[in-house]
Amino acid sequence: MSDDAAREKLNARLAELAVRYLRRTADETTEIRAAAQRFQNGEQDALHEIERAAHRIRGSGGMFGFDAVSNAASRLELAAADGAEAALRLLSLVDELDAEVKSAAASRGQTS
Amino acid sequence: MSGKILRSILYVDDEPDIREIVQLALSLSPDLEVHTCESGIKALEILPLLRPDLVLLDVMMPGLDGPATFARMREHDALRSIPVVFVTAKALPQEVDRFMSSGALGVISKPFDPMQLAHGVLDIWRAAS
Repeated sequence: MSDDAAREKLNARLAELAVRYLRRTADETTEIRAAAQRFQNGEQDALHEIERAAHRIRGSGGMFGFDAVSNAASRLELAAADGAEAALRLLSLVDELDAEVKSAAASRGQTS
Repeated sequence: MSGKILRSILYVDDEPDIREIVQLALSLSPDLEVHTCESGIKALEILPLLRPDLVLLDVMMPGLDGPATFARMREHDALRSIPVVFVTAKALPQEVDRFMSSGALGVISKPFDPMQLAHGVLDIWRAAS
């Protein structure tokens, strides 16, 4: 395969994976919201689950060029790593992530 | 490792999308043979069979994370000499220093540009040769 053909194949696959990423992230954001509510109800372990999911969303989002999604996930990951901040801001940070995922999907003509 | 040409790589990451991106991205360098697996435990199973020239290890993985996998490799006679590059979304200077002082060949930050990944890996390899 020539260099150009290989790059074209990579770009095409990246575009497909980006669509799948946004769909999956929308589902994961719903799960994160449920975990955040469990944390608000006293389940401390939910924070680790949120931190891990946010980390995954952050890492992959940057790879697909969804910087705003990645940044929102990063803020959430940092808050989840800091229990005190989580207690104050967790749900609003989940809202921010949700909004960024929807915005990214809308800009690509996807309905998440 | 001096002067050796990089031919084969094992990439270890629990995220399937990233594994696929890395496989495709490294395939832009046609001479590279690229294998992937999903965990540190799996890597330790297949490394003695594969014996790649280089291992790219994601840092944050469930179960055995990247640094723990690296430490296990260093305890294993057949794996001790295989160079490792860490791939991390938390490339803080002190963390990079920690990885490098532990014997890693290099550190690649996530997110990376897939189009430039093969160049970046080859640059690290050549710099260490």
